[in-house]
Amino acid sequence: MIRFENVVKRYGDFEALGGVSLEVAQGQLVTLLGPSGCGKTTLLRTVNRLIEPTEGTVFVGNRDVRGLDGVELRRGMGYVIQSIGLFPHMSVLENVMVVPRLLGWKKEKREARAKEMLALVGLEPQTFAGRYPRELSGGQAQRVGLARALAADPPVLLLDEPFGAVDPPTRERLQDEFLKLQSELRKTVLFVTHDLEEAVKISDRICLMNGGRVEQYDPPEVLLRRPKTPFVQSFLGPSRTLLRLSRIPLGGLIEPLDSHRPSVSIPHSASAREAFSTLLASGLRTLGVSDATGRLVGLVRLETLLAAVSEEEA
Amino acid sequence: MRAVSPGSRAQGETRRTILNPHPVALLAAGLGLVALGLPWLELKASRIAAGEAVGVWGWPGSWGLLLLGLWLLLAFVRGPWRGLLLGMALLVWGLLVGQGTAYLLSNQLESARVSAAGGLWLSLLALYVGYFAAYREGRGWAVLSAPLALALLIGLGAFDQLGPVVEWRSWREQFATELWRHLSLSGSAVLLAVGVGVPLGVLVASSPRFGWVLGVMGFLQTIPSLALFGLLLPLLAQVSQTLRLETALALLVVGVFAFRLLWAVSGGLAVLLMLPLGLLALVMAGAWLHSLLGPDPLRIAFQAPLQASGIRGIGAAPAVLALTLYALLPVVLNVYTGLRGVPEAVKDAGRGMGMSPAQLFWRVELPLALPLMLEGIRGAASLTIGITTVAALIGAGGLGFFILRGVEGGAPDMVLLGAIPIIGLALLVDSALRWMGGLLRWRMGI
Ligand SMILES: Nc1ncnc2c1ncn2[C@@H]1O[C@H](COP(=O)(O)OP(=O)(O)OP(=O)(O)O)[C@@H](O)[C@H]1O
Ligand SMILES: [Mg+2]
Repeated sequence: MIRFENVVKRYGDFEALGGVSLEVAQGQLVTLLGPSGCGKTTLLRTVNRLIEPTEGTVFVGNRDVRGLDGVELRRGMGYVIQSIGLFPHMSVLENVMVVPRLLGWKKEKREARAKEMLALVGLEPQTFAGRYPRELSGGQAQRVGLARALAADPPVLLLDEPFGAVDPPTRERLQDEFLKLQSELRKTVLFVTHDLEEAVKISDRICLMNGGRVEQYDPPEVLLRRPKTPFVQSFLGPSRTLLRLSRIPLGGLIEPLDSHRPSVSIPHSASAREAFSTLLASGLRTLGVSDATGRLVGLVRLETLLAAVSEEEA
Repeated sequence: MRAVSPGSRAQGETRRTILNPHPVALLAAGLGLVALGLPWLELKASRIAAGEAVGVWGWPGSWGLLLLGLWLLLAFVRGPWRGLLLGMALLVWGLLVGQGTAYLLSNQLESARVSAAGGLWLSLLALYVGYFAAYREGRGWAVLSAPLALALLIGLGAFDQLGPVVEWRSWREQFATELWRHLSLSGSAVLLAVGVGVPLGVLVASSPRFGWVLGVMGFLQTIPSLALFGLLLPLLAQVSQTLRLETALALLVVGVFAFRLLWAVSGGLAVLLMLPLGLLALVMAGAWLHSLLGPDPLRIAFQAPLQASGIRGIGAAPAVLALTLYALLPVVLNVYTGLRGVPEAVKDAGRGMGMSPAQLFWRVELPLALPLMLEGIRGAASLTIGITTVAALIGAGGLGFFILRGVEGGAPDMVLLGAIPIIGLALLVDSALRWMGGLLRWRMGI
C-alpha cells in the first residue's frame, strides 16, 4: 500500500533521511520507532508530500506520489501532526468536520459523521461537540486530533506521536482504544513513536530507525528476539525479554485445573508479561486464570512462562 | 488573640463593600473638591475680549453645595451606587454651569460671552476619573448614567449660554457640513488604508523579502504632516494641471501590465515603477471616495486635466492621500503581526488536512489574525480622526476649520467647538471598534 524506495532527504549538507526503503502492506499498522531526530517525522511527511524527498520515490497504492496532486492526496489520508494542531477558532465538531468539508460533504452528513467519530474516540458528542480546543485537556485534544484524522474514513492514516502529550495511564487507555478501533477498521497505519513499549504493544511491524536509516524492520517478536545490529540491541535495552512476554498471549500457556487451587488469579485476556509480574509480586509459582465472568478456568506456571521465553530465544 | 465571631466578621465585610473608600474614587473626589475652589467661568465683553473669572460661589444658588456633598459621598460609597451618584454629580455639574452662565449674562450686552475656566475643566476631569472607578464596580449604572445625565442636561438647555454652544448656534449649518466632511475625510482614508494595507500586510507576512515595506511605512509615519502636505502640494498641483483624466487611467492600466512583465525581470524595478502609479491611483481613489461619502459633489471630467475632476494640489486629494499614508502603518503592522502570530502547528495541520494555500488563508490564517487586524484598524481610525484636523490647513475642511478660525481670531470657544467633537468622535469610534473586537473574539472562541 505504501512503499518507500531509497528515499533520501537532505537539508543542505545534513542528511535527514539516508536512503530508506520500506513497504507497508494494506491494513497493517507499522510504527516508525527511534530516538529523537532520527527522521521519523520527515519520513512520514514524504507520504503526503508535505516534504518532497531529495532522491527516491514514495508509492501509495502503487502510484508515485509525485504524480498526484498534493492537496488531493492529503485529503485522502488521515493525518495527526506531532503537535496536535487543532484549529483554535473552531469548535471540536468543526475541527473534526474539516476534511469532510474540504471534500464537499453535505452539512448533515458531515455533522453526523463527526459526532460518530467523537463517540468512537470516547468523547461524548453532547458534551464536547461545542467546546473549543482551549477547553480540552491534553488527552482530550489528542482524541479530537485522532477523530479529525479518521473523519473522512481514509484508507491510510499517518499518525505522528498521536499519544505523545499524555500521562502513561491515559496513554495506555488510548492505545487500547486505538487497537480496538484498528481491529475493526483495518486501516493502513504509519504510526510514529519513540516509545518502545508503545511500539511493541500496537505494531504489526516495527521500523526501527537511527540517523535517517532503517536499522531493522520486523514484527515486534522478531525484533525483540533477534536484534540485527548493536544499535537495535542497545535501543531495546535489557528489558527486551520482558517486553517479549507482553507479545505472548496467555491463551497458549494455560494448563487445566488440578486439585491445587491457587490463591491469586488473573483474567484470561491478560498477557504473559502481566502473568509474570503478578507471579513475581505474589511470590507464588502458580497462578489461576479466570474467564470474563470471573470463574477459574485454568492455571499458569512460572516454569511454563520461563520455558516460553527461552523456547523463543532458541 | 484574634477571636472574631462569624457574625461580626460578616458585618465587617458588608460595611467594607458599602463604605470602603476606593483610591481612584478618592482621587476623583479630591479633584472635584479642589475644582470647586477654582474659577469656573469667565465673563467676557465679546468673544475675543479678555475675561473676568468667577467661581461657583460667585453666583447665588445651592447647586454648588449639593455638588460638594455628592463628591464627599462619592469618595466613600462603593458598588453600583457610585455609578448612580456620578450620574447625579454630572447632572448637578451641568445645572451649576447653566445657572452660572445665566446669572453672569443677565444684564450684559448681546455680544458678551461666558467661557469655561479651570475649575470647570478640572471638575470634568474629576468626573472622568470617577467614572473610571465606577465602571469596574457597576458597569450598568456607570455606563448608563453619563449619557442619561448629559441628555437630560442638553434637554434642559443647561449649556445653551456657554461660549462653544453659542458659537455652535451661529455656525450651526457649517458645523454640520464640516462634521460630515471630517467624517468622510477620515472615513475615506481609513477605508483606503484598509483596502491597501490588508493586502500589503498579507504580502509582507508571506515572505521576508518584503520586510522593507514595513520600513517604508515607518518612515512615512515620521514625516510631520505639514511637511508632507508641503511636499505633496507642488507635485500634485503640477500633475493635476497637466495630466488628463483619460491619460491617468490609461497609465494605470498599462502600469498594471508593465508591472507584471517587469516583476519577472526585476522585482526592484517593478516596485520603483509601481510607487508613483500607486500614489496616483491612491490620490484619485481618495478624492473620489471622499466626494462619494462627503458633502462635496463628485466630479469626473474626461478630456480635461485632473483638476477638473476634483484632484488638485490643495483640498481633499492631498489630505486623503496624506491621511491614508499615515493610517497605513498601524493597519499593515497589525495584519503582519496577526498573520505571523498564527501558530506554525495550526498552519501545518491545515496543510496536512489537505487545504489549498487559498483555503488555508481564508479558513485558518485570516480568522486567527482577524482580532489583531481589527485592533490595527481601530488604531488607524482613532489616529486618523485626530490628524484629520490638519486637513483644514490645506483647504480640505473638516472640524479643524473651527480650530483654525478660532486660533486665528483668538476665540477659544471656537477652538473648542472644533476640538470637543473631535475628541468625542475618536473616543466613540475607538470604543465601538473595541467592542466589535471583543465580540469577534468571543464569537470565535479565542
Ligand atoms: N527544515 C529542516 N531543515 C533542516 N533540518 C531539518 C529540517 N527538518 C528537520 N530537520 C532535521 O532532520 C532531522 C530529522 O527530523 P525529524 O523531525 O524527522 O525527527 P523525528 O525523528 O521526528 O524526531 P522527534 O522524535 O523529536 O519528533 C532532525 O535532526 C532535524 O533537525
Ligand atoms: Mg517527529
